[in-house]
Amino acid sequence: MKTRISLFIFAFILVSIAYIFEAEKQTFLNQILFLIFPVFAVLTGILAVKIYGLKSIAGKSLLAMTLGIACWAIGGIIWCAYALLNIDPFPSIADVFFLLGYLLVLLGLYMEFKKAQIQLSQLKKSTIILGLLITFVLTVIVFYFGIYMAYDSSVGFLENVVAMSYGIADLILIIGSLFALLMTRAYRGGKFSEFWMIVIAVFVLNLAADILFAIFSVPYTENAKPYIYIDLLWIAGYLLFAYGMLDNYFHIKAIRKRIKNQ
Amino acid sequence: MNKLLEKDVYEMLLKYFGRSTAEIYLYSHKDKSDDFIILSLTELLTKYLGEEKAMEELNKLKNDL
Repeated sequence: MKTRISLFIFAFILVSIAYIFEAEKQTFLNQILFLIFPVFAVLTGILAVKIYGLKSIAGKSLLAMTLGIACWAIGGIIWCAYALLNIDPFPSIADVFFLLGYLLVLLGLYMEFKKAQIQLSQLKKSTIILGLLITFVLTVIVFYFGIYMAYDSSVGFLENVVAMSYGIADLILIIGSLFALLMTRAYRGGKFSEFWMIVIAVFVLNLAADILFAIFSVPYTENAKPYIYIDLLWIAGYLLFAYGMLDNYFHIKAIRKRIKNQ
Repeated sequence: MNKLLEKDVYEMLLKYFGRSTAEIYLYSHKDKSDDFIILSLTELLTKYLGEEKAMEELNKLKNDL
């Protein structure tokens, strides 16, 4: 497990170095690097889905989440292809995939939430109040930067709708984080709670990246430094998702080995 | 393992660990006593689902004994 964590951290450090020490403008190498990680995350997701099988809710929910990440990967590939062809990638078909990804990830989380049969009445009042307070603060930030600030009167209707849709998608991430938080609580003390902590971290990284993108979308799309470093947040999110999926996969392998030895 | 317990153990393992794991468990434990099953599941579920969730699931299974 320690080797796995070290490998993931090492991969992230290498990517960060490539991003920071590359030429002034975002290079072809960086764009390829940006695409490797979502594809890797999808592959690890497929591995996890395969070991659970689609007869189980766990397998179905992981499939929905993996398809969501796959949509983000496809969106990223289309975005990079447009950028390489010097075509403005925003708005484009890439946005359809990016936005669909959020819905699929939320669907997967909802399936897990239903499976865990969480009784909200069992939660402490202080936990509920703290959860609602954090949700409110995040919602205000996302609403301001992701929806209100995303509106630009100088661009067309479609561009505004797509830009503001990302703000709404981030609200989905906040709801997803709440589901994941409840799951962490439901499996408290168990190894499965670690996976949901990882999911929360993935969402927080994505949320931070999306908010920064909403604020600095112009210099980002012009590939200017340091704004392209926003990519590192998304990459860290993909790496964490892949780590979580692999963790799930190895847990099931360990369980099977343990059962056979009983 | 009695038939009612077998069915519910399968459903519970399927829910949390997938079909193959549930099948492997039933195959490996077909000759084991109900008490042994509950003991082994207590260890397994506590490790992966945490004590609270494990107890919740085990209480459902204990109704089958």
